[in-house]
Amino acid sequence: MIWFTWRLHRTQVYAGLALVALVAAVFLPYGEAARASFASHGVGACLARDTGGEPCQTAMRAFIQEFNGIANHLSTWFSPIPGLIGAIIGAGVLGREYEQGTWRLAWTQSVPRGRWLTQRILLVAAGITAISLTLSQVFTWFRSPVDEVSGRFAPGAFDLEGLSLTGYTLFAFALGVLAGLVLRRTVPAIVVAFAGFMAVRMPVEFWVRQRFQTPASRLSAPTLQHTFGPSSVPVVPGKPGWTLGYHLVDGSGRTLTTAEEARLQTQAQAAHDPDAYLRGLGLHLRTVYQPADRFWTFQFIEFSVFAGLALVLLALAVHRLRRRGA
Amino acid sequence: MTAPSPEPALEADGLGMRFGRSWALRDCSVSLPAGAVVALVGPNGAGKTTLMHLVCGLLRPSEGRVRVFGEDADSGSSEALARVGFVAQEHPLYRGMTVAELLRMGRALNPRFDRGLAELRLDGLGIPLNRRAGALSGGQQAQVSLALALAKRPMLLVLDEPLANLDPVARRDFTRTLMSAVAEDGVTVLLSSHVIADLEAVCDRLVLLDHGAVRLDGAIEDVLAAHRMISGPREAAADMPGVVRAVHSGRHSDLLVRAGAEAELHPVWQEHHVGLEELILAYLENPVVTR
Repeated sequence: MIWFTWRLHRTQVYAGLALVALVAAVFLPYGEAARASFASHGVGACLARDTGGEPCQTAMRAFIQEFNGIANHLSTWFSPIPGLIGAIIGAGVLGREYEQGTWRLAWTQSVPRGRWLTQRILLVAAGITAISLTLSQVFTWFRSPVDEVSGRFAPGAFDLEGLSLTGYTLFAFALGVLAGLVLRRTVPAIVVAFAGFMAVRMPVEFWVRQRFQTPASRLSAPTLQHTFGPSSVPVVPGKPGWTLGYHLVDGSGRTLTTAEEARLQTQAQAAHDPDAYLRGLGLHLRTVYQPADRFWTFQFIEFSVFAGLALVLLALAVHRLRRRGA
Repeated sequence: MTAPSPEPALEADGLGMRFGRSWALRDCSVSLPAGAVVALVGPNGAGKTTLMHLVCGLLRPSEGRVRVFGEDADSGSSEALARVGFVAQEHPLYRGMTVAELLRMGRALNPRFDRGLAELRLDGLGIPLNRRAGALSGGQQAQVSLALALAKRPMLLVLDEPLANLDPVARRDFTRTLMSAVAEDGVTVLLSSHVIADLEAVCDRLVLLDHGAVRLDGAIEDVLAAHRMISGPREAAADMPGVVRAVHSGRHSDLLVRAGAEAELHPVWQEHHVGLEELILAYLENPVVTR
């Protein structure tokens, strides 16, 4: 089965290695440039000491502006790619057998078809895992200076580093295998698998992920200057976590309503020093966030969700093929 | 040649296969002796391919059972699969693989695979081992499929329309390879085909399927001996029992009847020789007649 699987998938393995080479060729020079810029702007020293000072904010902003496009916006076009790759590989496993009629050849050899599919799936999944982990390594290395400033929870980091990329690809692969079994054709199976992938992947990123653990919160001096998002820079020392939101709270700890906040904003902007005006009212700024040290916990949860779904779908495919017949 | 074992090579008992709401095969019961070369005939949609897929374990029966040398065909065991060699319709092959790679696949996936034998057979036919399967002619692809199936050393060889889409020369070569394999290995063969003339040369047994049910089953000579082609006056045709097919022209009728040599015929009837092709066609043309 090992040779047989290799023979059927070797073109995909070569394509995967070519992808790794391409990604490395593109991103390793950027990684070098990011390291040089990180050093020349003195970002490291800023993060270690006091990030609030004006020179540090300027330096970090300059650094992030330089690499924001490539490091953070990257994810917006890269996020469908694991889905597409996984769907293409997965849909071909059974879709091509049905399309070319070779299922009647393959499953009348002496390897029972359930075992045939299980072994093939395991070998291909191992290949996918190896290649996507390598890709994640390349992305992690390239992004590590940016991660120091933006944190590893930024979409450009979280979706590409660690285990998440592997989980996504395996999930799309499993969808492809099952769609190929049901639809018996490759291209429709790719379409269905990819649509299914995006339908799970996107809600997890924008809605479910921030709820993996109850967010932490901290109080600080009130300001209207808060920004969050990929290109924001940290205002406190230490590795930045994942900021989910800022709220103004009053002395009793009650969160102001949106209407109250909007009214205050107008009043504060009329004042000479808006921040001092807010301080004078006894207000605080509450930051709701996921701390940076939760990165690996979140990675494991994200991976478990997608790899777990993949496992269920693949088990379903094997069961269905074995029980119902071809 | 190995001595035929007393156990039937293939035994179907009340076998039925349903796809959605329609039955592709229903209440099919046949028993094929080991060593036989069986022709499976029937119109399109009669259930021939379904029966063959059930025999190979590619399908699981909706009802009844089918056994190959005593073991359930759908047991899914490696041993059950190893016993049956299958050449599917249009003899599918991995088109990107070379012939040598296909043989390597056969050896990797089968415990008793005889690669040397397959190479020898393909070499004898002048089929280059380093050629991609997709680049071979239809006849060569059929030969490679047959070589793969035979190299498994199966006890039962199942061939689904192996001669369709082959030119006459390729058809003759294929039949020749098959007959020599039968002579050498004593393998039991179940083969479906539309080309009845080809079947007569190869097969010694006939199973006729129609609308998912078995209508004829027996040794070809017995089947021929049990039918008579007669012609006579039309008014006598109505009283004739066991009519399979009647062709009336004016006041004259040609009948194919189920009647052995022992049956006495009224002297108004004139008897003719009945051929296999004629007999099968008579059954196929007239599917509504009751048994």
